[in-house]
Amino acid sequence: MTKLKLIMDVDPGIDDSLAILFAAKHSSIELLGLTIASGNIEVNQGARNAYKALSMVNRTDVPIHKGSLLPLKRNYVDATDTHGKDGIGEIYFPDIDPKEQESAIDFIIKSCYRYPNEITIAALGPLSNLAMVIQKDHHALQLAKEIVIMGGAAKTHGNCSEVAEYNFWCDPDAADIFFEAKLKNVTLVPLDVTYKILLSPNKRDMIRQFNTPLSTYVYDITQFYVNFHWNQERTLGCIINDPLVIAYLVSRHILKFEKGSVDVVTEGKALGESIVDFRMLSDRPPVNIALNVDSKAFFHLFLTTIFDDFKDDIELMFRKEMLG
Amino acid sequence: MKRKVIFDTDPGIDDAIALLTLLNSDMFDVLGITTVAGNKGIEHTTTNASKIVTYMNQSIPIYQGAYSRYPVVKENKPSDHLDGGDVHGKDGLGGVDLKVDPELFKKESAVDFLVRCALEFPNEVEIISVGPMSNLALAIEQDEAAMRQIKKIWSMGGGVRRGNVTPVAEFNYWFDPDAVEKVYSIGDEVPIVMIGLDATHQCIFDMNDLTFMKLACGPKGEMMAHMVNDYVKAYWTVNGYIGVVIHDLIAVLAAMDEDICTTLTHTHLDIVMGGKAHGQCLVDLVDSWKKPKNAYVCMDLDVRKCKEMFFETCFTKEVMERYREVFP
Repeated sequence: MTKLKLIMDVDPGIDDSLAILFAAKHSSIELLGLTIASGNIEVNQGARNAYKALSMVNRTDVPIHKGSLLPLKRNYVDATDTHGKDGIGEIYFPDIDPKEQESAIDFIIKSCYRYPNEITIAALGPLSNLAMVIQKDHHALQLAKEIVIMGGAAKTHGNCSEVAEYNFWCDPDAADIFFEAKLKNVTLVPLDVTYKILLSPNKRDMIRQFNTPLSTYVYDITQFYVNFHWNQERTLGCIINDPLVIAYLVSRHILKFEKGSVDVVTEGKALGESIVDFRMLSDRPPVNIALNVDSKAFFHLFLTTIFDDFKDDIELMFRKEMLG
Repeated sequence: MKRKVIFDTDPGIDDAIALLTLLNSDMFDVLGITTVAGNKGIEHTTTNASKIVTYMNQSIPIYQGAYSRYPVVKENKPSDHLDGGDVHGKDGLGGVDLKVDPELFKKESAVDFLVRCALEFPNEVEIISVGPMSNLALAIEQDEAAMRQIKKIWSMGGGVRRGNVTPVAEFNYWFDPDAVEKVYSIGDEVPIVMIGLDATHQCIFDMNDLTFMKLACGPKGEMMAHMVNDYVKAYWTVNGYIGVVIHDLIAVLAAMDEDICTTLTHTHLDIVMGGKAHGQCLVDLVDSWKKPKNAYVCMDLDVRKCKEMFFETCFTKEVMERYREVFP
């Protein structure tokens, strides 16, 4: 079976780091490279955090390509209030820079031409890099097999304002350019479904009990997130948005979709809002909008992939219904 | 003592059904009807309001109001608005032919009337607002202290998770967002209940209901069913519904019995002006942003109760009981 050729565009970020672990460990994914954007944390620290995640699963062979330092137009606002000053929970402060590579923009363009209709792109941060790819070479992303975006909010509230989700809010102009580009095979994984992906204290504590460097790392980086979620919105546990995209790529039944066209607000009080038109009266093409998720199937896949040595324990805990 | 109420409206088919229901209720002392441009131009909406009052053989005075959006009227500029098109039929009442009693029209402006009532009956007057909020905003502009003595405002407009003019904006609030901002600025003191599209779309009067209205509710029911007939096609085309949503009616029913609002969140409401999201409400249902509360936002309805209240109020208790028998 040919593996899924994946490029992850990330801004690690706690949940991005979990998504990196997940993709790097999954046997049916060929991780061609990581591209980094400034988002949760600025691009240079993001690259160090990505390297840290890869090193936790012995995958430092995966190249890390740095991309956009700033959003296209808007002032840059990071999410260190959510992710900690170092972007991954203020325990590790990663300081090893990965090997210099060509820019994220060039890497994505080259990869699309090198493997036409084979590349999958999982975009888990602001869409600055993908927008710059579109601006540099309008054809390149047309050659991607599939592009899956974590971002936006369709029928639920935002996390940066009543209506705006962080990735789109951070670089709304980039998101708007992306959805204006009329690309084929685009899927949006918005807050409507990621809000359901709650890493509860029970699940975190099971992870801690595994007591390996990897499990300690996962437990540690999510602690800051747990505190943030409790203080901000009285959610007990943390919502881990980004790994859901990876789960969907290898297990299609996890998400259910409706078709809608997406417009992004680039100014004013609704800045960063994804306006989803399910009636599709606009001239933008329909994309798949995820609106339902099987969160139990997600966690089974996520946990047994990352902690494959503890598959039996994880399944036992699921059977005993101790992971709520 | 009956509750004093002013009905602010831009009829419109759903306005007309709402007004018929209000006039059939014995709960209210309707001080007057103020009209506003919206679904149709101001002459049409004023005439249409009078047609309904005339049909009901009542003598409730009608005060003509804003010919356009609040900022336009405030600066005496020519109207620049677009009306709601032919969703409500060419005349705004679905082509039903009704007479007009010219005695109903008053010289006093809607805005002066609103302020006068607020001053005359402090903390007694409720407003049911089912059109653009232009008149209310102008009244606040004229005498905010007086308008802060309005007892409560019931507003049909806006939406949290849905729109109709655009995917995110509802017609009444989109039409005059400056007015919405002005009105909700007194929401810290005056309770404002927002009955938006999230709520109204739960209550679909389907073809069973409409056929019952036509066949089992006498000449008045037949007339009302005729009135909404034009709506049926619009809802099929635009929403894929077999039936109609009578938005403004829900505001009247809520004013009659707030318990039909099964979810009512006291929260902050803001409105977007300009750009792609023009006219959209920003409502913090999860209280994540801790902004000052100025609105009670209804997100869920007791649909069955709405329908039974409608049939009982507009017609008779017997009709409502018949409805229960036919649709257990």
